[in-house]
Amino acid sequence: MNNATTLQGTHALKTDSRTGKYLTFFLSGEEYGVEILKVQEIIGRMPITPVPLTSKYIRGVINLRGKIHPIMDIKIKFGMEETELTDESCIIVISTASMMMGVLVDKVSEVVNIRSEDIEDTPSFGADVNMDYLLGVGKTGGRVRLLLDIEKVITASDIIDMKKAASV
Amino acid sequence: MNLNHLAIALIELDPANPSGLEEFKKTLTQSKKKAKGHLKDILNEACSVVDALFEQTPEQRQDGIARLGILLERAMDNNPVDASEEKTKKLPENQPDMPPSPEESLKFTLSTDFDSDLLNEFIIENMEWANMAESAILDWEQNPDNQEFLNTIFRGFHTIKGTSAFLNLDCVKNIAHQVESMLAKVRDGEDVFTISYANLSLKSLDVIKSILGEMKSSGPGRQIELPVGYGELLECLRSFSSETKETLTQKSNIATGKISKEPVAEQKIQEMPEAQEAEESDESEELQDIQESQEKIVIKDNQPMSDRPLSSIKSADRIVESTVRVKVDRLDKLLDTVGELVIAQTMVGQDELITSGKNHELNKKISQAGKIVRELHDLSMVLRMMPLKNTFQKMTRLTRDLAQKSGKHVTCITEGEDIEIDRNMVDMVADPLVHLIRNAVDHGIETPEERHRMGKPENGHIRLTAAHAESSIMLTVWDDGRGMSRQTIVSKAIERGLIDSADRMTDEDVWQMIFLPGFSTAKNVTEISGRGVGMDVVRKAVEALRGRIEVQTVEGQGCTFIMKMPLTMAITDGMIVKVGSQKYILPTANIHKAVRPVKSDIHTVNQRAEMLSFRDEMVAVVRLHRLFDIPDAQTELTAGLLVVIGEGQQRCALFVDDLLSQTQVVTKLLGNGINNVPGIAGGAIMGDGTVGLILDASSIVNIARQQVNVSN
Repeated sequence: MNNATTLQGTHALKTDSRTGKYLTFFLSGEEYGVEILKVQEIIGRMPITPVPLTSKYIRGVINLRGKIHPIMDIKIKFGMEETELTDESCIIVISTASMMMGVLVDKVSEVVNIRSEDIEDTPSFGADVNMDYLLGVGKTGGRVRLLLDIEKVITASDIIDMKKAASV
Repeated sequence: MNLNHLAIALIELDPANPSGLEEFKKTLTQSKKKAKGHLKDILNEACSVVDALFEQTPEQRQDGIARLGILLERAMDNNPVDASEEKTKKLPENQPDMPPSPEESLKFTLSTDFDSDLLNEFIIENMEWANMAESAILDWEQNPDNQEFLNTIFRGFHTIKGTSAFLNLDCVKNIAHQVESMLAKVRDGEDVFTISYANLSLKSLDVIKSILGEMKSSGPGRQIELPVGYGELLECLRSFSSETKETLTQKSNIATGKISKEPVAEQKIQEMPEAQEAEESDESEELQDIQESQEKIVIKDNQPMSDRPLSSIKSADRIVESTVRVKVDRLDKLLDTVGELVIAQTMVGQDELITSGKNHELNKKISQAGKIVRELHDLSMVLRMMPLKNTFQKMTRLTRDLAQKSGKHVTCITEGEDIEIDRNMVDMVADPLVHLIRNAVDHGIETPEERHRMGKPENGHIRLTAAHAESSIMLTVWDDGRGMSRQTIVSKAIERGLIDSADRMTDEDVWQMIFLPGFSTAKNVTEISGRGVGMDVVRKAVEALRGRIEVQTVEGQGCTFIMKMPLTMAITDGMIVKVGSQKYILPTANIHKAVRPVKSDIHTVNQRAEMLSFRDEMVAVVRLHRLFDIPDAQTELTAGLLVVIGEGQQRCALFVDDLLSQTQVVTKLLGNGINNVPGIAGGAIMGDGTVGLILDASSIVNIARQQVNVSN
């Protein structure tokens, strides 16, 4: 009995913190969302300089008004195809307390307000799909949007490809 | 020798280093002979404590030294002469507070009357004065006859005293005041300059500086801890300066009487009742100027009257050179913005609209703007620069202290201290210099006896020079000590299993081995150096500055370390190298030579590794395209270019498609998370607005080596 109440308590808390405005975008036809407060800006695609000896999902670095920012291809990170650069491709610049990272997306969609009651926990898909990066699934206006825990996505410790650096 | 001298000697005793003990014991025995009655008993006891010290561990010695301190205090209380002095000293204006007793934890509470901005300004200003006084003391030590140095020291302490009194900082004020009165005796010819004066003044500056440093990290109304030995030092200063307080005042009055220009003001400075000090410090600037010009006059007293105004104008000129303090982050921001402006300007200039040549008027305007931008950029680069003066001064001081500690006579000569380097590099340069100076004093310079035996002058020399060499700066540390012995280094290297035999090694290769981690030929580890970390640290530090270090030595005659590094870290001089579709910037400092190899230069090992014969040497070839996994690059060695990079054992030939052009770029970080990619030192914004990657030569060599190991 006691156990059940605590569980419910934490659940409510978790849902509450997920309420807010999300910027949504498309990756291979799937719609994703990131908290708008973590987004610094959206820029069109620009020349990316590849950086050797880094993981494949680091596409390289760009010059954004004199500062250098790394660019991540999260489709590769999520085990999808490499992002193809088109006219609709965009870079969403994510800013967290510790770092700045550009995230490459196929197309930016819209900014939506998602309330906690519209957010469901992610169902489990087994070991095949990594659900660590998802905050939950938002359902508004009949569309399903996968809400990303973007900070977790970009603060990966495996950016530098040690295997590549040590043996080619 | 009196008890005061003993007390000073005691402060200088270092528990970790017994070498000073002999000297101390000698002094003590001398005083004992002259002492009578109860005093003699106390000194006898002190003697036995000193005797025991020789055999003890540093911790035990610490206790022993503390015990000596108590004994000396008792001796001073007992000494009838000193006791009477004590009374003269206790004039009300001179004794605003009692010296803190050793048991008390020494704390000082900052006044809340002043805000942190004022306090900060005070700290910065006084740090400067302290540094100035320190350099003057060191110079003075070389020529004690030069009045100008003494005056500078005076001014330093005087200003510190005045401003700290204004801020109610008694702890700083008291020291400055006591040093001032102590030095007054020398100035007025009552006492000659001795090493004790210099030691005591330097020690006082150290204490003042550490109090200032402590203040920096706290704020108004906070409590700061006074440095260890504060009470002792103050006590020591007091007894030193109060010895002949009365005659001193008289004499100085006579001295000032000679100059009747503004006797009232001068009097005020000389006597300076503490009670009025807060008031006085308001006008201290003014007074100081007066004093300054008067001091000038004192020196040129024998000159005709008409010369006087001229000399005071001259001294004013020297002071007028004014500066503005700017916060570091604002300056950095400005420099960044100017850097961006330069890039933006280049991009405009390269726009098709401009380069097509159709818009002649526009072209003219743009090139005019470009000129101004470049000028601005040059100016902003100068803003980053700082002279090496402070660093060199620290080294001179270090040499002096180390030489005293190890009982050697060493003079440090500096040249080129006005040469300016990037502000960010100043501190980084100090590290390797400290190690080199330590080595020079501890291992390089011999003891006076040894030098005498070898027919060298007993006084050893260390010369620290800075000079421009092309677009880089060259720092040289030279000593006339014993130099390095090839035999010793070689046998040590064999002992440690680094090499089998040195038969085919050039001298240069042998010297380079001293830079290996943990390599030390010192027979015994002393407090100063000998643990074998030094030279490794030196090379790392120089490499971090994108520089190189070389050694030249002749056994028995001395040793020279030459460091060559770029003037600024912010700008990298580099060559753009092309590998497939990628372009990288290779710092020019790393490049020895670029060769277009012919077939006969290349040799393969097991059909896998390749070598280039370069100046009769075999150098391993590192293929950058393979290392960085670049598919569309040139793979035929003879069709590309081999760039020889790295030092000594680390040397290798980097294979690239071509060298494109020379460039100067502003080094930037790649951004959090990918800052330490192996092989890449950083990024730079290129003329076309894209990011170029700057290669890190030493790291590339390391990766290449690891890969060979893995594949083996």
